[in-house]
Amino acid sequence: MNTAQTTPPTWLRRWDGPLTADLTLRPADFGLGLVPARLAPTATTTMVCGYCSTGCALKIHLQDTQAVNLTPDPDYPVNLGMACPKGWEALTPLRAPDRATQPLLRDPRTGRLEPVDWDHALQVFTLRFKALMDQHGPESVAFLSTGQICTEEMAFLGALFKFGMGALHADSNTRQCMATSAVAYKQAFGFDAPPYTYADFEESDVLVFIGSNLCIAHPILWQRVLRNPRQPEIVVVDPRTTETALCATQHLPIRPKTDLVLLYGTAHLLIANGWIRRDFIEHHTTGFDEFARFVAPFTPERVSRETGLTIPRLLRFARTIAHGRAVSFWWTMGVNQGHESTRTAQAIINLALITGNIGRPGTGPNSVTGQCNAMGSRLFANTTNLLGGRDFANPDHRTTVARILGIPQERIPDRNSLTYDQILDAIDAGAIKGLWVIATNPFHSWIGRDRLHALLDKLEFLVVQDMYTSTDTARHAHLILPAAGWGEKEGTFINSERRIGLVKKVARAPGQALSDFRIFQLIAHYWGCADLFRAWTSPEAVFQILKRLSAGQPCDFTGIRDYQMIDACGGIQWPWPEHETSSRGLAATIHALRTGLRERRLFADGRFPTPDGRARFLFEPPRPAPDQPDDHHPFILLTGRGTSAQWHTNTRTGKSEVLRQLYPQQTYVEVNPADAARLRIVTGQTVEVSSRRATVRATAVVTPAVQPGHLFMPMHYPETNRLTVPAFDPYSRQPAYKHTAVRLRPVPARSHTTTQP
Amino acid sequence: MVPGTSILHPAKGAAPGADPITTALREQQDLSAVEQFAAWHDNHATPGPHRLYRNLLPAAEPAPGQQYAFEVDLDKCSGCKACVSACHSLNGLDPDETWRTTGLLVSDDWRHPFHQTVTTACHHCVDPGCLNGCPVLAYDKEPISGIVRHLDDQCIGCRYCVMKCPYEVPRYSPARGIVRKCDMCSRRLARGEPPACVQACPNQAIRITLVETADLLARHRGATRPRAPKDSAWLPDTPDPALTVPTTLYQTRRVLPQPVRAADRQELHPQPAHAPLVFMLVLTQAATGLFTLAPIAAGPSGGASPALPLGVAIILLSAGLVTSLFHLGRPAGAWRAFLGLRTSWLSREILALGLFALLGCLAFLAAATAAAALPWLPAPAALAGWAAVLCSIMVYADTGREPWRFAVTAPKFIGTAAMLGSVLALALGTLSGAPAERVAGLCLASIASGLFKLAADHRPLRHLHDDDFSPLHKTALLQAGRFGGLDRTRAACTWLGAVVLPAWIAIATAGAAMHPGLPLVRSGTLLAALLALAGEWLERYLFFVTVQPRRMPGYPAS
Repeated sequence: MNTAQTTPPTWLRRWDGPLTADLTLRPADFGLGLVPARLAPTATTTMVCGYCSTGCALKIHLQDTQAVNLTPDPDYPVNLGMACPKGWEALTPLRAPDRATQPLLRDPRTGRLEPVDWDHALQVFTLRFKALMDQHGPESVAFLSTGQICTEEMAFLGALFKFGMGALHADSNTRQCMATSAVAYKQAFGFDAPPYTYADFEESDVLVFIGSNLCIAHPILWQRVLRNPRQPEIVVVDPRTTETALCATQHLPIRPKTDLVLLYGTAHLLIANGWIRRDFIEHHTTGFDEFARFVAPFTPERVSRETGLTIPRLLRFARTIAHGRAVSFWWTMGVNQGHESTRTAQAIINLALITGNIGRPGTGPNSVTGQCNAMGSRLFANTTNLLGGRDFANPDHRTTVARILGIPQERIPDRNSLTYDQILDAIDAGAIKGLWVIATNPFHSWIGRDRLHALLDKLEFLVVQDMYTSTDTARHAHLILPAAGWGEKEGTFINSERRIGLVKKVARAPGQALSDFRIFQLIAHYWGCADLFRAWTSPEAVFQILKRLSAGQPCDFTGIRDYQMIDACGGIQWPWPEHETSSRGLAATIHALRTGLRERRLFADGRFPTPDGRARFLFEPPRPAPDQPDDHHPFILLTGRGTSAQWHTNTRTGKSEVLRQLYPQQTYVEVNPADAARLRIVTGQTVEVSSRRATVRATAVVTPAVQPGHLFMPMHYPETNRLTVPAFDPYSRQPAYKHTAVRLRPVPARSHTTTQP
Repeated sequence: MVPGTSILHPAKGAAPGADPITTALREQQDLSAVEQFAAWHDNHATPGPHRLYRNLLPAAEPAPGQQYAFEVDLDKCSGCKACVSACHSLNGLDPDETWRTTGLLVSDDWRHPFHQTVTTACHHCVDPGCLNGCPVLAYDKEPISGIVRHLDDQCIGCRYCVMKCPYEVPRYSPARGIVRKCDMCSRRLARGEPPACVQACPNQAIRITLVETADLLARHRGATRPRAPKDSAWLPDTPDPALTVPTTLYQTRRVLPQPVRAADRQELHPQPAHAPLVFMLVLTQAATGLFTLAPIAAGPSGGASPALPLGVAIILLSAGLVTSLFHLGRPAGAWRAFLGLRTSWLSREILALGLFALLGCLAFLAAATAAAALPWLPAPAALAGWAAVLCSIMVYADTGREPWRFAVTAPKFIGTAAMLGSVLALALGTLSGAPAERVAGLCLASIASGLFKLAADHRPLRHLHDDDFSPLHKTALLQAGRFGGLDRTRAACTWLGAVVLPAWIAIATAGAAMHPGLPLVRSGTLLAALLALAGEWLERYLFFVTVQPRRMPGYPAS
């Protein structure tokens, strides 16, 4: 095999040359090892990733201030030098050929989108929205925004729309992911405050994951679980045998949407066996006795019957929690996207409260957020909450905000906006006629999305502000405003553990695309309300305004001086009030935030931001999921994240040829081998999935990861949400994506062939 | 106020003299702000992430008998696939190029649900198929590290390594005209820096380790090795490790439920058609047959010159050889193809074809100029042709792909040569007025070789109902299913061209009912030749597209 004994001369066997040189690596400075020679940086800078809420920092490799490559930052406390495939490929979607590079206006004669200049686009925007509001009132227009833009931009949008343009109804796609957690925390703790820090993954001796496939949805957080030196007990509650479930020491494969029953039953077992922390309950909570009475009927027999878990498994789960020194509970969309999701999240909070698992290292009822800036949206989007986690209906709050912003108080609406689903209802009813969609894709992502198409005729004006002209939503727009993306603008994101991180401008936006911030500034100008936003000159100027809005709130971060300080500290978690910095001095503060105070958790003193300082127990009898299977629709369809290489509606991740190799290209549906054998279905075969709403085709994937009687389809494929049937949690108005009755049948085909050429 | 009048006179809020849109567009393109941050970081740079991963590299260089290998802890792999992206970014690969891939193993037992992501790159095999197959020595196994390195500038883009590697590791780039592959980040290793994938795994599931090559050879090729591929000591439902002795170690402390299969096992993946190879193989084999039968196809008397059939054969052969150059990504380097002679059947095939062409031309020149016909004249060339056919068979049999094993490929290729030789000789014989008894003989030869060929081509379909989604079953499914129309056309062409028409001619000319020189007979034989040729092209196209090699687990619906 070895050719060494007959080494031919180099003219005969060429070891070097131009093709070999293409792959040359060379040592780079900046703490990087070898890098591709043609991508060797002249400088580097660190910024947070723009996909999920983990909030990893990426070290951007710059050549003359332009990003050419990236590596995960080894010094950032979140990701410790790691990134998921989306993060590694974060720069690629910026270079996609279908970027929006100029405003496009639909020509009413041809029906086609035609390029116009910004002046024309902004005049049309203003004229059309003003005309609608003049004719039909300020409630006739709405916006649907996102958890993907910077906090400063969200705040600008919310303030511009409500205080400047005088409109009322606004919501964002965080309704689809985090509304439940926000409402659950707010009702239980008095403020939307996820209490944990990622170090808690490493410090628990019991980790309970409920409706969370952390390995796939937040792969870099799973790293923290593996760094846990305590050989922790890992419990995963999920109907599917997910990647995370396979890593668990206990997997509880409940029937879909019986999590609330399981959690109440577990509380019952803990209370009945005295496995609770009475001292904590007495001093720091209110409503325990009612809660104990309420859960008494949730006997193991009943819970076993409803969840499908055996009684010994239920007992083992309760005992595991009882015996844990530090138990942490983590939930994601499996909980949040349910028909009784708020109470389910609160049932988790209740477990943490009765066992005193809060405020200590390795504990907490912890919601792992979805989007990179869902947490920014929850505090500053000015949609559901008034800026800074405040209440529109509270006159004191309105006074405070008016004073800080220097605007007349009557500019601030005294009532709440409609929620996402209610905005769509209002469009249907003809009450809302103008819609402005920013950086989200409801024509793909909304539950029972076909409804959006039906609403199109009722919308007189649909504006889509996005990076791409090709999204399912942009294709229907009357006006497209081309937006710069992550990496083409500045601002901050807030991650799941409340860490404020920086986004920087490291790439030039294509053509005339502008940052959302600049677009909002221009709209304020064209609308004629720029006076209100005179101080909103730059993202960092707005950050200073947001700081003032946070003063005195549980999220107080007035101690953060500026962007430079965030950068120097590796992100800063809220709260960080002014006195924390002023008492130490800036240099000592930065040192402290980079070392001992790098990872901080809330409620160590057991005091909660409720009026009486105590946490609340909230509970309610479980209800069956709305869309129940029957003989015609015997399967339950579950939806969720497919792979770590896909993000939401795939508008960005679909642009990377590397990522495209990491997930199935065809819409697929997972089927249990028992069902597949019965229906004579093999992997790769085309099948038809029908709900009470729609029928779609998909490629069958036979896997025991789903139980018999269940199917799973990832949300990244446009077909999936044609099937889902709208149902909402009554408190958070979050859609229930995880329980749809469907039918499955093979499509007769000539052979078991796949559809590729 | 008319709605929006203010915007026509954007005085409010605008800085005097500055158009806000122009300002916004200018500021959007300004990247200077990032410099201040960059400066801060440059002054505070710390050593790279690899400082964290010293324990993921072996402490010493490989001793004699050892080499480097990837070690994958399956229990730690949670399926994030960062290894693939990191490899891409840190090696500066082309936008669609990946040197590491991932796939999925699943259990079929719903009571024991199990699935496992499998990350795979080059296995830096002990006996690398790519290296052994390369005709130009564009692969090198480094003596100390054991890393199998690809010499990009030596590669001619023949893609034989892609067929030879059971793991689909070498990736062909049409733009570059070469393949490229993983080199275990050898330059990083040389500096004590882990390979990109090792650096990037959040779970530290990939490391570099030292393996004893003798142990691996014993495990995968020794007397105690598992007999059935499904009982592989290496990884379930993957290519037989005995083929190349891969060095990657896949570790797990779990007991995998049985049976475990590749998640995409039930899927069919048509393979590249390689049109130039389709033409080359059929034409060179036809030429071989024709050289063999040329003396019979020669003129009316036994002493006639075989110049016409030899000329036609030379044209076919040359066309085949020229077409084959179009297969190469960088044909300019093809002259180096003799370098791999020691291990590569492709080198041998190229050499045999070269010899065939040389001897063929000599035979033709001799036949065209010689006054007296020499019946043995084409014999050396024919022998070289048959040697080339044998090499061609071995090129494909040597890939280890079950549907291409010798017992399948040999009858096909030999059949092609025999059948096309017979049919072409028949056509040329009738054209040059060969006597009836020779025409009859050629008809019988056509029919016999045609029936043989039909049987050989039908043979893979015996596995149609195996229902085990093995390579043979899947190949049969493709041949009968998606490519069923083409396959039936192929059979019809062969039936008509090699059996029905020759039989008609044999009957028609028997007993001198018709003279073999009649235009009707001549066009009949010509049509037969064209049909048979078309059938063979279809057969060879199907040979390439339907082959289903055993491969590493992939993703379904991809």
